[in-house]
Amino acid sequence: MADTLKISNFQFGCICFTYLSGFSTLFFNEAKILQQDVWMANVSAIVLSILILWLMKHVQVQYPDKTMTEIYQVLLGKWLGKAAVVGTLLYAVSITVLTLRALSLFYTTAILPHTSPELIMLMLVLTTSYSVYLGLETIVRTVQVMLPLFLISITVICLLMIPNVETNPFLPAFHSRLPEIAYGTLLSYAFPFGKGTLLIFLFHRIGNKKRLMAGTSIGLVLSCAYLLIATYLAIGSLGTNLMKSATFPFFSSIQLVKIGLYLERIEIVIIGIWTVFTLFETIVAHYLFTTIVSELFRIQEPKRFILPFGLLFFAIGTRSYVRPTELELYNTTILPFSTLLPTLILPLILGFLTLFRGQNGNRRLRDDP
Amino acid sequence: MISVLVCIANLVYGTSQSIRIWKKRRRSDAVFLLVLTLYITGYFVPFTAPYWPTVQKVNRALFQPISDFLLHFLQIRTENP
Repeated sequence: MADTLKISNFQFGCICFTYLSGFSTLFFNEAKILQQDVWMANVSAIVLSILILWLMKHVQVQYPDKTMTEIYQVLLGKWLGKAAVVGTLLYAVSITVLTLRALSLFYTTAILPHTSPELIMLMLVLTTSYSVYLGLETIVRTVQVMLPLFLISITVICLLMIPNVETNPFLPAFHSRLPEIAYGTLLSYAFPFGKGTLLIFLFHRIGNKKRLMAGTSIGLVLSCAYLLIATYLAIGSLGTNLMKSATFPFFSSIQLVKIGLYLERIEIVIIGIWTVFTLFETIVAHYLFTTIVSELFRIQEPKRFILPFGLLFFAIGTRSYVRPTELELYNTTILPFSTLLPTLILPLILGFLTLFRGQNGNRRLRDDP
Repeated sequence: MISVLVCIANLVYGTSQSIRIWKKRRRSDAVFLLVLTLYITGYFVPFTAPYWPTVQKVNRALFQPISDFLLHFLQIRTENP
């Protein structure tokens, strides 16, 4: 945790892709509303996400020596800035708890029906705590090692799914109403693309900040492409009605894959690889939470707080979304609105404050102690 | 059973680390860790657990009316068939 080494733009791009794609193919909430028109929502959400990250990169470049937590306090004032960072911390808790619950629900539904969700969440929390303890460099290096493995296996499984596509997944096109597309965009921005705004708290750790958007944009666009490919393969394999009613549509469609007459249950292998991949999302969220809290409260030894923060996620997780329907209802009705403040409104305010203050104002602020 | 074990482990770890930090004269850090430990314990104690805030409860209280209004206004159905 006390690591201060810089990471490269390529490594940050890998983190972006991993962080956004871990859970993106689990529920397909926006596809369940828009079906064939889902690409409009996903593309709009990814464009919005790239714009927000570009704006925040501009903010970070104006204050190259400061962390994002400090920039919040410089631009919004000490107490308002701290309140805004606390709001972001609540958002980080929200998505970490959602991730823990979603993964435990997936495991208890798909492969471990007799295992307690609490036990799965505890194992996840212990794993993420250990990873955060090892530091950002270790996390980034591990992502670089695991990413090709994941990409190869998911490409193979997608190719094997193509023969199961019986209906044209793109037709009928343009049948959704404008409000539905707008709400689908909101859903897609809330989960998964808006989560990317938490990564702005890693911007000060990147070596070459001026070329930051190149790696970030590639990571974001690839995660959008992966989500779209998975969505349309699921629609084509299952049909729209089954896709809308399935809890985990992508894995239901992977279950249909068979190689010859002897190799079945390919999804079990995929679940193993996918679990490792999804863990990175929780690890990055846990790491960011620990970093932001230690910056906000000026904690000198953040390593001692890693396990308690993990246990905090576990404790809140045991009391949240106990029934699967609660999780689904929260994801589709509350999450799109609750994420707007930390992922869209606050970055926009910070971006416009920086743009309007101009270079002179920034120089004066930078000189302030 | 798991929750009880985690609660005990949390109390033991939090208290021991708080004492260790206190001895290094970083008292604000020690108090913060102790408060955090006691707050986490609240989620496992049967008397306090129902009243302890979760993100789900807070966000539902804040955003449910907005969500209900907008979904009704835009005539969007989110439930599965």
